[in-house]
Amino acid sequence: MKQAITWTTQKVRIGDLIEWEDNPVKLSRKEAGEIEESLRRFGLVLPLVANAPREDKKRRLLDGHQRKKVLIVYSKMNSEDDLVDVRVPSRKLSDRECEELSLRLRRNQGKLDYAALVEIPGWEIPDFMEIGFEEDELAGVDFKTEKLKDKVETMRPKEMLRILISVPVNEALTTRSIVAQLENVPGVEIVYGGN
Amino acid sequence: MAETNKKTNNSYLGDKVALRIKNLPKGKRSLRVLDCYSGKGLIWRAVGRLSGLEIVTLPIDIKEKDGFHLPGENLAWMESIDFSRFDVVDLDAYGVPYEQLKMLFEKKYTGVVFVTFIQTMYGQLPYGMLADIGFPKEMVEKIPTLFGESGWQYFLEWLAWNGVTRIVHRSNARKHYFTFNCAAGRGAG
Repeated sequence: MKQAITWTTQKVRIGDLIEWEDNPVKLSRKEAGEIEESLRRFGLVLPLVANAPREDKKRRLLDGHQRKKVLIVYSKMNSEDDLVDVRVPSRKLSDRECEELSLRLRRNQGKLDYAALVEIPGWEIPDFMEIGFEEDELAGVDFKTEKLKDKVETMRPKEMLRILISVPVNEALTTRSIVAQLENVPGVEIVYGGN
Repeated sequence: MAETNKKTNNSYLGDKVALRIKNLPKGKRSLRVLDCYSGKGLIWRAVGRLSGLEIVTLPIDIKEKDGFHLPGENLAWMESIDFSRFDVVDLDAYGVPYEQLKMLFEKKYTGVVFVTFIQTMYGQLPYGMLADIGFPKEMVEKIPTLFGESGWQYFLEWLAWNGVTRIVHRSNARKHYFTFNCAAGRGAG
């Protein structure tokens, strides 16, 4: 049985953190900007997560690839010797465990209830968009933006006798020219169609 | 609701909410709403917040979900419900709520009705509705495309046959959001 894992937060050289080559999470320029803004405003709130060190002291990064990139590219953290907070395990995880944990940390989270989101007092749609929510995501809960105009339709019941005239396609034009003579007769409505 | 709006019927949520607020029964501080396709109850929560009125809903939803609601097919519930207890009946459907409207007309409901009418890509309309306005099933099956193209017009004709003389609607392509008032000969709009 594998030894239970406990986690501690340590200061680790950012140059010692090796990224997972197959990491399926991609980062757009816009998302990088949003992470940068979050780091600028609040700092590194959640530590990165990495495996126990290899013999060469390098550690496989398990969570925080994007934050690491942003830290390096956009922040003042431009030296490999800069230290960053990292959660590290009490024992070295296998490759499979590393992959599982990386995926779990990404996936095993509560889902955002967009309906509840817009109920947060003091927050409007533009506020959510400013911190990275997409217009598409919010359209389903945006109950203030109107896109259509009111129209009024008045109706009265029609007394109709419906007659279907179905003819082979090679007789359609001839039939149409005959039926068309009725088009101007008051009370007659003609609808043409084909299969 | 799903994570994004792409899979939901709420992409015109703002219009649905505005349509309701503008056409609520007048002179009441509190409204009782039978919400036959409630989903998460988003629309009426928003109506309550924006109008300042007290909205008491009886939600019906076919999907299992948290919170009080009548689970299952709305038709089965509607059959046993006394509509006179409700100021508003909401039919925010995914298609054509023909059977539900028919039941309201048969039971002579006298309140305000809000409806979402969405024709599918293939434009199939309920045979019963078309039969009511004079198109027997055999005729419809002979040339179904005819009814796809003019579905909304035939639907309005059917409403007129059931005594509705005026509706207020917001429409885009095959999506139509509308309301009518069953009081005063179903024509107050």
